[in-house]
Amino acid sequence: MAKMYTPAMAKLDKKRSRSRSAQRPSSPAREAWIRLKRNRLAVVGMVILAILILTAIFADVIAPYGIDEQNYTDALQGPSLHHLFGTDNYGRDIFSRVVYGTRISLPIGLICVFIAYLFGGVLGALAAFYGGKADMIIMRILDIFQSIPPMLMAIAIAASLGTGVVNLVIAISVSTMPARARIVRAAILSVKNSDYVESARCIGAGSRRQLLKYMLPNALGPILTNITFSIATAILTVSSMSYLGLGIAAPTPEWGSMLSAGRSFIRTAPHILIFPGAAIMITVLALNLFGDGLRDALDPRLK
Amino acid sequence: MNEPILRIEDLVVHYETRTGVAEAVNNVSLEILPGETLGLVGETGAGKTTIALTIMGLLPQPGGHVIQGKITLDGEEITRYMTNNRRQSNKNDKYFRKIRGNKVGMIFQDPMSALNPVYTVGEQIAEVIRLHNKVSRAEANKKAVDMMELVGIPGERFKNYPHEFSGGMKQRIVIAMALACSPRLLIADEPTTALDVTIQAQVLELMRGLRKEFNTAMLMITHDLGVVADICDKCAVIYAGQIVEYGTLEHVFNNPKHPYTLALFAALPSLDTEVERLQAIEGLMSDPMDLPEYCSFYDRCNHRCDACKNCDPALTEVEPGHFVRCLRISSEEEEK
Repeated sequence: MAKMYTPAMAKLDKKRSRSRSAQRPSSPAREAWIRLKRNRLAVVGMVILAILILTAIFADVIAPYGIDEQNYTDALQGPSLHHLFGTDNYGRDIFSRVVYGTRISLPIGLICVFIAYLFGGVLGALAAFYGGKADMIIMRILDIFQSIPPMLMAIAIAASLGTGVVNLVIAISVSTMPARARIVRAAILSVKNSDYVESARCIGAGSRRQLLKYMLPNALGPILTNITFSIATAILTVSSMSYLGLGIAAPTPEWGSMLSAGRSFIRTAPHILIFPGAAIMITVLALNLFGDGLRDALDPRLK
Repeated sequence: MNEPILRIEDLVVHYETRTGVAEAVNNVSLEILPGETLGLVGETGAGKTTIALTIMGLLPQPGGHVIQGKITLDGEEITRYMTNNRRQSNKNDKYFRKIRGNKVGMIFQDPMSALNPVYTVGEQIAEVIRLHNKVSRAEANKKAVDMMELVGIPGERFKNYPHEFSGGMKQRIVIAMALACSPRLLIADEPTTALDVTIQAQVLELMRGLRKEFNTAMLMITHDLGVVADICDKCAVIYAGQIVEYGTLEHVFNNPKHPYTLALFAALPSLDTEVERLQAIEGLMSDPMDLPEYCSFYDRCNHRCDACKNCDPALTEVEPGHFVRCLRISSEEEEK
């Protein structure tokens, strides 16, 4: 039979000739990345996140005014060319404050999730790996923690430790830790009895090697997905706490505290609330889109 | 040099579960000499895999226990390290970790899932080598490439991931991993069950060649008599955790004595005669939770008699090196 040469093959050939990487062996991570790139919504999420991260890094360059530059003659003005998002009751430029806000919300969200996963993840992994009594004890203790609503616990911790960035991070990390432990435990349990772990045992691998080289990398999919969603939740929690006055105090341009400060002007100058609110919404939306895409890319069977 | 690599004496293994005690392995004894291959044949649940796991010290915990018996591996008694003593457990673990992959290699039934999907196959072969030998990463990688070439996989595929290989090639890689440290004993747990026949033949051919090259003793677990005929020197037929017939390949294949072995051979399709249906063995294997006091094959046996119900037959030597566990045979022997 003559070999057929279809347009699809021609297209592939062209692509191959352009990039030398086509010959590289495809690792699971690379395959996931390729699938992620093909998901349009996820790419939108990624682009927004990239813009937000760049904004945070280059806030000094982007923001036309300082965060607490007050100009009483320009107070409560609507959006204009001078003040893109308008000004608040002290005449501060809202655009600049929202731009600087990325420097607060993004890192705090990341740090909260990192700490929660560091402690929760280790506990969950140990519980799943050793099973039996260890699992029982660790999970029951976490159950006690989890029986208190996370928001309530965060408020209680923040209230007792006092306001401030560090205390806020502690409050959010501790209150979300049990849920993170559960995610890691479930992920490890799902791969614990797989054949490759059994074969790791058969080549004489010790517990640590089994856990770190065989179970964790294979369980990473759901954990990574959950991390993105957790960052979104953490950012929302930071904003809510700040709105309630338990988070970051007023002059710092945190989006939630900006909402809180502007709430008395909702009828006269709604732009004071709309822009920081939109910033929170867009960040969370981008994270969720990216998380959804990541989940589909890491586990194609779920789709 | 006739010291056996593996000697199992009177091994009894039980699984303790909530609903009762499953007698998985009952008084099994066998021996494998260097370079020799023993086929362990039996149906699902007969205790084949349990024997393999016991040798590796990997009985499922909690539940699996070695009740009695002695396993000697390469002159060293390994059952000493199987106590359930809590204080000893760390030492036991250390000992078995040294054995696994080093003295005993294991090949699994399903090559599709036996490799870690997130590392390249080369890394995985090199890992075994580095676990048991003090060599640099570069040396281990070089040895891994050699092993890959040896099992017929081009060395440049070192950096490929498991999902980029076919089932047969994966099984070759699993074999390369099992042999990477030149083990004294290779346990193959149904290595060809998940492969189609042509690949099966290739893999068996490969194993036969490597066995000669490494002079490795092999324990071949299978339910395929064809595989046994192809590759084994000795054969043990196991039923309900007991060896019912044991001997050289010629003994068992040319002169089968036990009714179960006979029934197994009768169940094979024949090329010479045309048959409508294959001859199955009626009934199911006795529940290992509730083994009868008498011969465990009694309920399915074509040659049973009343005397069978009153005694538990012992292994009888019918000719030098050929053992059968059946009352008929042992009474015949007595009459002689």
